[in-house]
Amino acid sequence: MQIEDMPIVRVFFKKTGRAKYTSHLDTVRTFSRALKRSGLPVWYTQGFNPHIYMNFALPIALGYESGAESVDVRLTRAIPFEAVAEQLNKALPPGFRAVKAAAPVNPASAIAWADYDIRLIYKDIPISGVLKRLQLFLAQPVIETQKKTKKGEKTIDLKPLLQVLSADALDNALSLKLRMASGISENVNPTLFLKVFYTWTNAQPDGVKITRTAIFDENLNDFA
Amino acid sequence: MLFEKLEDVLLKVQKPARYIGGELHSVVKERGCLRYALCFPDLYEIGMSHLGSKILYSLQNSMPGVWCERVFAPGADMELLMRENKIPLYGLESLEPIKDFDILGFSLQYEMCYPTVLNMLDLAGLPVRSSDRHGLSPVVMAGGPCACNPEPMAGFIDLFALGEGEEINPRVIELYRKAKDQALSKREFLKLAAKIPGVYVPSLYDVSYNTDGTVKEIKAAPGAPKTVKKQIVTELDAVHFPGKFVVPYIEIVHDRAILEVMRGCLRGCRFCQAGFIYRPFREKSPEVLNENAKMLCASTGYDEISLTSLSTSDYTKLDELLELMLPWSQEERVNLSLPSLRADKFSKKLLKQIAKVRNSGLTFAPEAGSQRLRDVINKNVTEDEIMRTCETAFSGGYASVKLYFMLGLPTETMEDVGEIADLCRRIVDLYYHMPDRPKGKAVNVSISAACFVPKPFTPFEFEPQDTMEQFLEKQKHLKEIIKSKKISFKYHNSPVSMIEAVLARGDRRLCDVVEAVWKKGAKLDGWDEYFSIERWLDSFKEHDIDPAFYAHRRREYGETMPWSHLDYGISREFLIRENKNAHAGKTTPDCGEACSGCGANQLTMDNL
Repeated sequence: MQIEDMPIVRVFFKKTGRAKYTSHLDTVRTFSRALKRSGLPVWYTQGFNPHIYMNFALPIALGYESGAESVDVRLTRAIPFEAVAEQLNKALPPGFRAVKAAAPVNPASAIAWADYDIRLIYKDIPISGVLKRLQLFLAQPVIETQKKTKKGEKTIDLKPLLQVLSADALDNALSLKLRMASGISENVNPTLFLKVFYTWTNAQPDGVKITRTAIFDENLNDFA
Repeated sequence: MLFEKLEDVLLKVQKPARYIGGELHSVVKERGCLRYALCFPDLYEIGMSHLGSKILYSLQNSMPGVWCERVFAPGADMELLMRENKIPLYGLESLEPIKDFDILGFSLQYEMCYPTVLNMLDLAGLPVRSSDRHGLSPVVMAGGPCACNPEPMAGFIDLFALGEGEEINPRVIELYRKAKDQALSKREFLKLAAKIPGVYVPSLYDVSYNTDGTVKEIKAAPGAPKTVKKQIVTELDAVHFPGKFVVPYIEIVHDRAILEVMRGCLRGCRFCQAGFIYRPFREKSPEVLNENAKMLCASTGYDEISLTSLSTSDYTKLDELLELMLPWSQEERVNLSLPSLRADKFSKKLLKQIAKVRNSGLTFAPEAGSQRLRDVINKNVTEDEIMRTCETAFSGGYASVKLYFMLGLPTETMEDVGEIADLCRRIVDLYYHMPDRPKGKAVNVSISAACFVPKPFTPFEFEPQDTMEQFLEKQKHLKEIIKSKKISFKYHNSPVSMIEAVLARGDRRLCDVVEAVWKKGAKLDGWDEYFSIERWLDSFKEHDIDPAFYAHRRREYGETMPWSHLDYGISREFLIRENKNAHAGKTTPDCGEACSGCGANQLTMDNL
């Protein structure tokens, strides 16, 4: 089979529980081994040091859980998509779970936005107060901060790069749904936003839980 | 379970995946089991690479009603947060504190881990002294190569397992189970344990000393054996094989499948403790190894498998094994790697077979620069063989070789040291005189010079170690005479080697020093960034102990050693004979050619 005839399959997967402590590099290794154990006919790169071809779109940072991860692999022969996900799931370690496999629709470069569920746990401060401060924080005309880039630090305004979809006070936690610019042209992650918020409020939460729930293109269609 | 507490701290530390478990093939059982914590006194990446621990983990978890978990030493950042947040040391499988376990088993691979063992006991919330832990549980046991002279740890460990754990640990576990059912005291249990072959209970032995500081007598309590004999697995094909390694998320030091092709070593290199304490030489059959390898690759997904032993090129059926393994391993893109190749066994054919899969670096260990000194240490490799090996490597496309040497070997002179540089120069010259050398590549000969540490149960157990000044002088000399940029030179930290020498042949009076050093903050002392020589020297002084007595003193052939009551199957007469041969520059044939009568064959007889 010629390489251009070998199908690329996009596997959407979840990374939850203890798996959140696995960095991207370790996730790559985990998938490489799982694919090997799965017996799926994966294609290897043809260079000096052949390895399983894998392409992760927008990999999640260490410490976050995610319900919206994807990796592209190339198969040397066609396999039904359901079978790909099923066989891979038999081989994946706990915390990693393939949700579905499909033919890729968008290039990874189409990703523009990502949604996050964030839970900030405060043990000693009333949550209603934190919520109020958040509303004041968000009401600012600009939210400026420094961002490290390859060319050094630059000042950015976070305001156009994020939307708060909801904010609720729970028993001892603030629950946030956040949409953030995530892609090639503009990219900010929740940690940067939260850091600016903590500094502004002068209060560190006692615990933070962040889960990515979805990724979209610029028209807010699910990345597929 | 400590999960919630761990969640609060894990994102503040380096490589949090070290501390949370949940890896593929980690074993979770029900809580009513007998709980065993397999403790490795070093970081996760090191401990997870250790084959012996993988074997015991798998073997003990195969026992019904026994749940064996892994425990490693935390890094400094994690330790700080554990102490701050009152998180006691826990098992990675259950995330439950190990102080509530039944047995803790430490692996003593290297003397410098001793303070780490104490630190782990303390982190667990247990007194470090054996005599301060009164209850039956947890029993603290230890094994591994350092158990051949465990005296500096005698005050902290309840019982030592001498020899191969597959033979001893299950018996200790079964006895403990009975002791627990019958509500025996710790002392009663230890007295019974001392009757298990290979079990050494230090509290049942009384040591007295002569006025010159040497050991006078080691007296066994009534009921305890006068000498404790190490245990071995006789039939290696039948040994428990861990078919499923726990597959880590983070990269560990040996991140690959490991196949143990044999135990023991045919060679009688006089400096090498492993070459003596793991005797006799026993091989696994190629058929069994091939099946093991297939199973391991399928269960782990590793793309590399290493054929490991003390000297894999001495495995007598290597060609057969490679013939069995190469077809499927190539098909499945699994690389074969053969560490510890010997210069004299390195053939063009072998090189080609490994090169078929992947080129990795080449390392050889001539150990000494001059033929005279190589004869003294019985490293039966000639310069011709070393040159031929390099020639093979160079014409096979390699442009760099790595050579291991030791400084401070018995009888070594500055001329011997100088010959290390001469040998390397000749290797560089050889490269440039070869018409078929790799095109357009500069040669690199990198040499690493360790400091020799005399160890128990070797013919050099009687020898003084070089002082730090002598080591420094030799290192400096070597650095000065290596002019070529094609030769890179690295050497070991001599203060670490001095402490290692003290502990290796130390007696139980050193327990106070080990405890004092730990109290001053010592842990992970095998890592340069953690080690402090001042901490050790201060602790020696406080306890009025002269480290030179242990490191730099020549022992008489008749001296009672601190380990004289431990029997590793190697007779004192043999060691004396070999020591005399060394000083006469006489070599001894390897066990494949002729039996030199060390006594280790008796160990096999015992089991028949």
